[in-house]
Amino acid sequence: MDSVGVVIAFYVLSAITIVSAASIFLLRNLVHAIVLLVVVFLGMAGLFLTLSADFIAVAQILIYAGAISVLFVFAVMLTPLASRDNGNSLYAGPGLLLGGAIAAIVVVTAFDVEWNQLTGVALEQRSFTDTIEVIGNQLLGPHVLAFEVASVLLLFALLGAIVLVTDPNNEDGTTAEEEAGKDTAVGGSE
Amino acid sequence: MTDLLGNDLNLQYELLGPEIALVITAALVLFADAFRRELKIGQSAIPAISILGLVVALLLSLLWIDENKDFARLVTIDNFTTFFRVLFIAVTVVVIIGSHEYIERRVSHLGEFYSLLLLSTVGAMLMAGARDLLTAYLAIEVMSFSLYILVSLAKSDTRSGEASLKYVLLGGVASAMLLYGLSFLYGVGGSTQYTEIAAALSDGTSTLELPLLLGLALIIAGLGFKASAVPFHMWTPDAYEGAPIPITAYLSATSKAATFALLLRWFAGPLLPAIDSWQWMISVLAVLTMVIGNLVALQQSNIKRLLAYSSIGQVGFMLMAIVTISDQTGSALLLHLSGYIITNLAVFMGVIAFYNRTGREEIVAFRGLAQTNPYLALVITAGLFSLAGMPLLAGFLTKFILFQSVVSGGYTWLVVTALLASTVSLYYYLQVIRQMYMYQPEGDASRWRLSPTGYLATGAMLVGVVWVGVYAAPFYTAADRAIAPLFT
Amino acid sequence: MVTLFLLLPLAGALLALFLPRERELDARWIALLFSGLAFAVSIVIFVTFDPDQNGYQFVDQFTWINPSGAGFEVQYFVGVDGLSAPMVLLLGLLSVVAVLVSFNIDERVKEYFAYLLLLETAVAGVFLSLDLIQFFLFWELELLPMYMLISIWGSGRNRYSAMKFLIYTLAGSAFMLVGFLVIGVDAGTFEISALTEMPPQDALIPLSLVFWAIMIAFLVKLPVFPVHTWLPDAHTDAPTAVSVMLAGVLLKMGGYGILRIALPILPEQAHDFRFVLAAIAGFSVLYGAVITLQQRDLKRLIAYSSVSHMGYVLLGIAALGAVGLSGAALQMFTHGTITGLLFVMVGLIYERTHTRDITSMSGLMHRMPLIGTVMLIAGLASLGLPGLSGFVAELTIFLGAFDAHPAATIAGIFGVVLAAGYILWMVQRIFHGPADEKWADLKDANCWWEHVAMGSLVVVIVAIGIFPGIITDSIESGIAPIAQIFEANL
Repeated sequence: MDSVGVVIAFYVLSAITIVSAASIFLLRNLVHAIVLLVVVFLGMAGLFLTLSADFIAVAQILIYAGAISVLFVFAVMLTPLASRDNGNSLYAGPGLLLGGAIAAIVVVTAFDVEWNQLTGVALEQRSFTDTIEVIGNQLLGPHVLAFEVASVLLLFALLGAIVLVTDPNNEDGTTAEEEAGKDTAVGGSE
Repeated sequence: MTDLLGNDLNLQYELLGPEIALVITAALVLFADAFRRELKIGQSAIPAISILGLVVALLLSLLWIDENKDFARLVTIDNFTTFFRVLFIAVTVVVIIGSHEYIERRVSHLGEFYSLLLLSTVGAMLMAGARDLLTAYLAIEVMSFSLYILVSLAKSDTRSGEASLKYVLLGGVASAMLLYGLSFLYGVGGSTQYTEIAAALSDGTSTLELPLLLGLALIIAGLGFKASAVPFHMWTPDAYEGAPIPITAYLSATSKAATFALLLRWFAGPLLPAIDSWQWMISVLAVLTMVIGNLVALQQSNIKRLLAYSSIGQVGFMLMAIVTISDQTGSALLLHLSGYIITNLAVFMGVIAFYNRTGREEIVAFRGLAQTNPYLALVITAGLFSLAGMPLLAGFLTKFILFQSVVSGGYTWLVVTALLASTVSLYYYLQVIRQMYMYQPEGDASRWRLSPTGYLATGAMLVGVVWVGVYAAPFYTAADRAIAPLFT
Repeated sequence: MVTLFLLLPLAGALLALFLPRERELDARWIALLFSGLAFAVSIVIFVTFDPDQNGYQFVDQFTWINPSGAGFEVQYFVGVDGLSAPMVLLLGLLSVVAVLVSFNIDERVKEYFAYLLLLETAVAGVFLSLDLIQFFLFWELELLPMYMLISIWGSGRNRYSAMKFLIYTLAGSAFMLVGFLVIGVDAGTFEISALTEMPPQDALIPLSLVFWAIMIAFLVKLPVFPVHTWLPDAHTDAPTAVSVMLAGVLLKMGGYGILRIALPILPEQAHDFRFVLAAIAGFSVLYGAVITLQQRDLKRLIAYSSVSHMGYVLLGIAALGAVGLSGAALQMFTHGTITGLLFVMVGLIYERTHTRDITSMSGLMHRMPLIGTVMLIAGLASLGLPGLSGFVAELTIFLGAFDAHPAATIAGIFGVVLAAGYILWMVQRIFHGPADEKWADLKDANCWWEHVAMGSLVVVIVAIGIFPGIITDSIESGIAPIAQIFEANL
């Protein structure tokens, strides 16, 4: 934390993020909650920016504030009105307690540790100014394996999504003649 | 090519031969299934292609015996990796051979099923080989993602979808915890490379104890979920029950072994300097897992749920080896893992063959099996007795060597708990055996036979169970050689 | 030679299992042949055994498990010494008897005889093993056939009893394995003779705990109060042959284990706890005898009398001297033959009357004089009548134990008085008295196998009563090294 501006930005962004996050619990209307979730995502993107993690900040905005919240909006809009209530849960009490405890541990950890004394080898190589170029080079250079694995993973996740949402009856229907011909025993009886 | 720190990187792609071969096979399988009519091939061509690919991968992995190389500082190819590559490939082969009939009849999306099975094997193999936290994490996700989908593929079984959903949601939470824990570890160690984390942690981290502890707790919770250790086991019985039985077998074998491969790599490598911080956590986990897994198993009436809890109990035994980690316990753990996998597959192959015939999975359905199919009853009995640790079977010998190593690691009380839990376990295994041997069959009492592949899979596993139990020398030599690279 | 004794019954079991269904009954002959061969081998072992020679004889040995990094090895190591030679003989004899009294089994015959022969192999393994882990292995292996035999061919609450038997033994052996592991890890070997030469001085956990961990398994098996409750149930619900094996040889595994393992390897701890052992022994004798007096079920009666009689074994052991230990070993042998015979007789009676309720039987001597006479001989031997084998053993124990544990010995002697009471009362109620009309058409023992089974045991009982030297020479040579440990050091 070098300059005053960064410090001020940190506190403002943190305040926005925490207040929005807390309000999500209290709001009864799910659509409002989603809007606040977007605010939380944006606040976190801002926090990443203050840490000079510009790539992650952009990714955060694009993926979370953009794509994922749109997904949420769709999900809420497509559910019947009756269940759109951000209602009470049976486990609210224990959940709050557990969440509070975890938060307390994280806060204590965060304040207790002198983080800036860390001396990892990688941390000493901070000669770059913007992260996007470096990340790009790394991903397609030394970490190409991770890149490949991730792409295979995504391909199969796509496949899985298709498989999961295919209506099994419908899928059976397209090959009904085939199925009926060879295996009547298993057919529809089970 | 060099990385950011100026280290030379070895980009020898042939090191990843088995993984590449399997991914290509997975793609081929998808393709073949999609164009089955055009290519004029039958359903059985798909498992055949898969097995062919697996055999190629097996041969490719054998090329690297006694080598010690790394791929781009991300994946190590040493005896440890080779051991697990061979193990995982073998498991997948056995599962495919033993259950292709089941799969054809009771699983929707044939091509996807086999290709996902191959892909999750790739994930498991990478988990064993990774030497970088992010690669390891990606590998875990590759394996888990495939399994999430595989669990849901049981045809017309509503439990399957529920099981899958539970597995996905809890699995997601566990992955998040693991990742959060890894970020703490990165913060403390300053690198994602195992070797550098180890160096940083042994340099002294006195001021960083708290984040390290938090990170370790999160990592152990995340991996505990993957290994289904109590109290992170809640998904296991449902997933095991809802999944198609071959996937249940696969979950109990590969998914577990891969997690332990990772645990061994991490706790014998980067996390070893912090042993004082995690030893007690794992020992608590081990005791809880052994005791609760075995006690809850007593109340089960469905064979898959019974085996789920029994596998939880077994995880407790294996965790003991992590507590007292050394080359001796590590090797004992590898041996026990192999023995456990062979045994468990014997039981599951038997159960699959039984299910193919009867379509039932309650324990009482096994009544009189000793009379309608004495061979199958023998296979299942041998497997269950081996799980319970009866002499002359794999379970006794591997458990004995494991317990012996834990005792010499100084944790006698853990072994006492384990032995008592093991005694309890015999009780519920006997419940199944009793049904087979002590009651008359219900309904149709005529004798029946297995299919040829059924005989092949069960027979091979039966021989394995006895072989490991009587003459385990090749196995522990292999385990010794596999564990050596971790402790040099 | 010794390995042959181990493998013969196993081979018979496999052969019986693979008989075609239509020739099921031939399993009896296979079982008889192989147990007979094993008995012949055991006679050869016993006769050619040289009591004057130190150490084990007829040794077979090779390394079995040897993980290179672990610093220990497990051997296949079998052999006999003066202690195990009589046990092997007893096992060979009783197995033949058990097969003979099972000749009328007609349900799942192949499996039955396979399990019976497997049981013989397992028990033989226990008596012959000279490596702790191998010992444990056979100890556990014995459970499987026992469990199956009781729960499939038993009667009454057989499944419950079988499970109870299993749980008691398993719980005990779990502790035993921990004890073995601790000792073995400490010494780097599991060989009994090596461990005897260098008793462990210090281990991961206190050695007294190790001692009790090992003892608990043996005491459960023996059994003594308060861990005896599985025995009456198991006996009552087991088929005759299994009762014979259980009383005749399985209980001896406990006493044998104490003599072979617990005492030589942990002598100091045994010495420290000798009064505890003696107290348990004395109480067991009395408790068993008193409970026996109240039994109405014939099998339960003999089962409880076993608890009382096995108390003598522990009493002899607790004396920790050459005489007491020899007495204990002899008592194991004689009790095996006597109680084995008693169970054979109970089986024969039950087969005819279909009841074991003592009060409903009366005057059976009129209907079956032979059975009555043999039962009387067995009973008299059991209560320690001079001239029969029980007397020799009990007398030796009392002589050996009196100096060390006078109170427990007096309790033991009082136990003999009670034994006279319950045995004679039992015989009187069953065989004497007015002949009941409902037993009018009972037949005496009339099959050749019944005659052979009874006759062979009677001969042994009488022979040892008159010439105890047949057995005691061997036993004394086996006990001498153990007794030496205690005389030399403590």
